Amino acid sequence: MQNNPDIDIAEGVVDKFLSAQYQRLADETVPDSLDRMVLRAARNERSEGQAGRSRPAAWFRQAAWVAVAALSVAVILEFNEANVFSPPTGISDRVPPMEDRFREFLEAADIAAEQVRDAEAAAANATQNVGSSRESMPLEDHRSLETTLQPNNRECTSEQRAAVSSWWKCIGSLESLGATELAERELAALMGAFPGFAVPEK
Amino acid sequence: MTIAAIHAETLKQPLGGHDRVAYACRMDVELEDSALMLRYRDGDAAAFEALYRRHNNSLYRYLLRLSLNRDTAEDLFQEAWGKIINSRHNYRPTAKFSTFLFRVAHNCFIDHLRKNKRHTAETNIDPDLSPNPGEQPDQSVENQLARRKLDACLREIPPEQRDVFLLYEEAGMSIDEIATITSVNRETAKSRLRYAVGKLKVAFSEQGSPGSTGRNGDAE
Repeated sequence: MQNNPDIDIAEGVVDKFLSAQYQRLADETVPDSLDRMVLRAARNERSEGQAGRSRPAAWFRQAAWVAVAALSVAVILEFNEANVFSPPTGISDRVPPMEDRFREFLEAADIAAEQVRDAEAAAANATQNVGSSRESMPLEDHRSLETTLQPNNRECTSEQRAAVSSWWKCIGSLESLGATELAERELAALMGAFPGFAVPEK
Repeated sequence: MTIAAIHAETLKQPLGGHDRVAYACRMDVELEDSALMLRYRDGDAAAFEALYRRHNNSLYRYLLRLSLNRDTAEDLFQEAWGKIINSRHNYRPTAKFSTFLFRVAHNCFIDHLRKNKRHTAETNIDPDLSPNPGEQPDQSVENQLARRKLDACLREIPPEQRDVFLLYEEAGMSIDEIATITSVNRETAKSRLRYAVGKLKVAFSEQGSPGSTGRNGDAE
């Protein structure tokens, strides 16, 4: 580089002709509109910067972050309480496992089968005793036995209760079988269901 | 004088507008660029205007001839000054302000090149055809033609070399400062400048001697 005196700028030796040509020709100036734009930006920025210290901009951003965080935590807690995030756990808590349900079903079936066996045994015994002891039995025992054997001796069925006449007939049969209290309850229910029903004279 | 001392001294001096700067010049106490920037950082808008008036035209011409497009140059010019304005709170006068300013402008141009791959094909400076004050119409036309030749010559050299040449001519940078701004070592910067000068000389000689009046209105 030292061999070329035109370029050695470090020593201040340059191509003076080229530099002079450039300096003469490149004489553009900034458009006024651009000048005004930059200077206005500088003034506005300065005034905004000065005002910014007194405005809540500095703490407002932090407060906004805190508010967002607090709202997020509140929403998450709310969802947790509603079990939104853990449907499998909630279901398993409310519904017993399949094994437990099957075991309960088997136990209920066993109990039902035992009750059926007991009922069948009692019916068989009763059938055997009816023919032999019916005449010798006291009237009250007879009625009691009839009550036991009648399928409708405990209360009137829903079909019987559907119509006043059938319901009243059922009540009469209960009375005839000696189930007085039950007959009275059925009669009270009949009067409640059909207030206009007039009890026929016997 | 240390930076702190400059700052302390500048704060003592009144500066209310552009005329105040002229007053400071007459009194041979022209504030340094970094001092003006520090005053602007502390809220003195007039200090920024004074600083801006010192560098606006050279930065504009640098960007105009670097980008070879007037619209692009104006956008980059505004962007560069915007960055200077926005970074005033972080400004530390560790280097010359002009180095800082032209480095920002250089980086704006590099970013522009990255975003616009087709930039180099778009050459549109559109010289202002209105004559400068004190310039005769014939002289003006002749100068416009010469400027077109200058721009054509600059367009012929690679952007890296053009960048170095413009930093030297417009910003008055030394080789070391040019190397700092363009992020290359000193020898690379010097080599680029040498090539740029060599090519421009050839181009000028091939296209003939350009006009005779220019920036300072002086006639050859």
